[in-house]
Amino acid sequence: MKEINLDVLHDAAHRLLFDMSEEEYATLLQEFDVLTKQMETIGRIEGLENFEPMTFPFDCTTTYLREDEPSVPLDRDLALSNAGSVQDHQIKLPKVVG
Amino acid sequence: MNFEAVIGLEIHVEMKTRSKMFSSSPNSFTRFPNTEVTCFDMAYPGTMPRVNKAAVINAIRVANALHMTIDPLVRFDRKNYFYADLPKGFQITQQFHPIGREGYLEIKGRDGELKRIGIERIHMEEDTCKQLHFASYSLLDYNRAGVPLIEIVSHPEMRNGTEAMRYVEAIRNIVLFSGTSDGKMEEGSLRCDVNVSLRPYGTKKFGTKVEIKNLNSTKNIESALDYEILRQSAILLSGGKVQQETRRYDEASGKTVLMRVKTDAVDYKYFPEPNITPIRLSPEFVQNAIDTCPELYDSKKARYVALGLSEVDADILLSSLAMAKYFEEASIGGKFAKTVANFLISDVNAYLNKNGISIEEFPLKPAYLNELAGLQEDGFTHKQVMQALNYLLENQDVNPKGALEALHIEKQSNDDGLVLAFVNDVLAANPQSIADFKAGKDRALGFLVGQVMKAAKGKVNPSAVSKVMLEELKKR
Repeated sequence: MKEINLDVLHDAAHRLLFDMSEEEYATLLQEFDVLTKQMETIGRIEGLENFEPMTFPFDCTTTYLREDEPSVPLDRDLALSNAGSVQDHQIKLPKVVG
Repeated sequence: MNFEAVIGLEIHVEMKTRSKMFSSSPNSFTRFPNTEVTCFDMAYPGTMPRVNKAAVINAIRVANALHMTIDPLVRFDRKNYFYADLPKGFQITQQFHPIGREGYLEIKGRDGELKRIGIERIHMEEDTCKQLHFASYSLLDYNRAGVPLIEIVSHPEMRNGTEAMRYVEAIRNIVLFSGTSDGKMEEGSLRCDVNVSLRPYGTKKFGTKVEIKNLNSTKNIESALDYEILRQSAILLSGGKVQQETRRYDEASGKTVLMRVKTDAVDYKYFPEPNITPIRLSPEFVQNAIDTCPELYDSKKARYVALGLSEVDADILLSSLAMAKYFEEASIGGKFAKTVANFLISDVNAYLNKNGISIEEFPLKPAYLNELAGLQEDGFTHKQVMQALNYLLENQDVNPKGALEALHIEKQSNDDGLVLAFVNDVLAANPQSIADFKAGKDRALGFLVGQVMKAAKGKVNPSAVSKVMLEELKKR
């Protein structure tokens, strides 16, 4: 597993477009340290790969499906107001060819 | 050494539901960017997915048409990747529990024999946003983000471009006629990725596969694969190794072109979608989705052929949903079906092409085309009926009988006695034409028929005249 250090946290925060104080980074790093140790403890349990990951706390299902009725969409200007750059009513960003 | 091609297809189909897969945002393919988005589509924190019932019904119908086992427990998973086309940072899909598993489709191979192609899975997911790339920047339109998709994954059981083309055509027909999608490859509502590799005949191990993207017509699928099979074959025969890569088809040159070399597979860190509780579909719900599915292509085709149409004519009428609908309305209960089909395939299609309109814009009511076909079967000539049809196209407040009256068109007589009398008179007056016909001059027949039509002032049926004239000439 990749080591979690301050550089990794800074990088992740900046990729997600936010920042924190250095004290908060330090607190988060300590929390990650605890989490990592817990993961390592769990990882030492033999035969773990034979268990399905638990996604829901209870084994429950629903029958709900949403009716196919469209609602009023967001106002376009409002929808685009969070974007740093807009051109021709589209979000503009540096070229990202996958 | 001869090689066997191993071809598998992944097809993405955009569903034409009214709202998106997991949000109630409209799904109407508007041309105005970013006007069909909700907070969920833009991944605002706290928004939750709600599964679209119509999308599930569509997926069940397609899975059933492909003879698949339907999973009544609908579950979704997250496919995680960081890219601008997905604001959430993940796509909701069905990686572990697709709604349909292990089915098949029958297509005609190159030799005309039926061939069964296995289908591994069909699953539901959401589309990504549309990106426009320019030299130094990209523009994002989130209208497409969240549009319901079904992905259909075949087993690698096709062996040439023609089989792949026919497989895609068959899938297109299913999604189109089930009402799931408009299935337009050229507009991206049916998108196809092809994987192809070669191996020596008789071996089981797969060769290195190449992926071909951006195929925007079924014909291009056939051409791209035929080219790619030759390309890979040439590499292998010269002792080289095929590289694992993604290529695209260049229509102008008829060749596939390298896009990128594939490196290690991306780890999408799939895990079950925690925001959607598994949904249990009742047997009644599943059965009702199947029972209410609109009639599919193959069933319609069989029905048309039973009405007396050739397979080719049935395929022409079924090449568009609107044309099939018009045909069915114009041949109510199979009445005059063959004649209606002939009108649609030749005369109506010619009119549509000439005027650059679609069958939806054709001004003649289907019931009137039925009446016109009936008139032709009742003895009016095709030429007369076409005169009436053209009059109706110009005068839409008139019915077919009114058109006949307005044009003073009368039914030509098929009365054998009357026709024979005219024929005998004309033959008696034209002994030279009889001699010419006997001498092998076929044009003499046309002249004699013309003389009868002139004498009868057009009131006898020319085909009846030709038939009787030929019989009488043989007697002389």
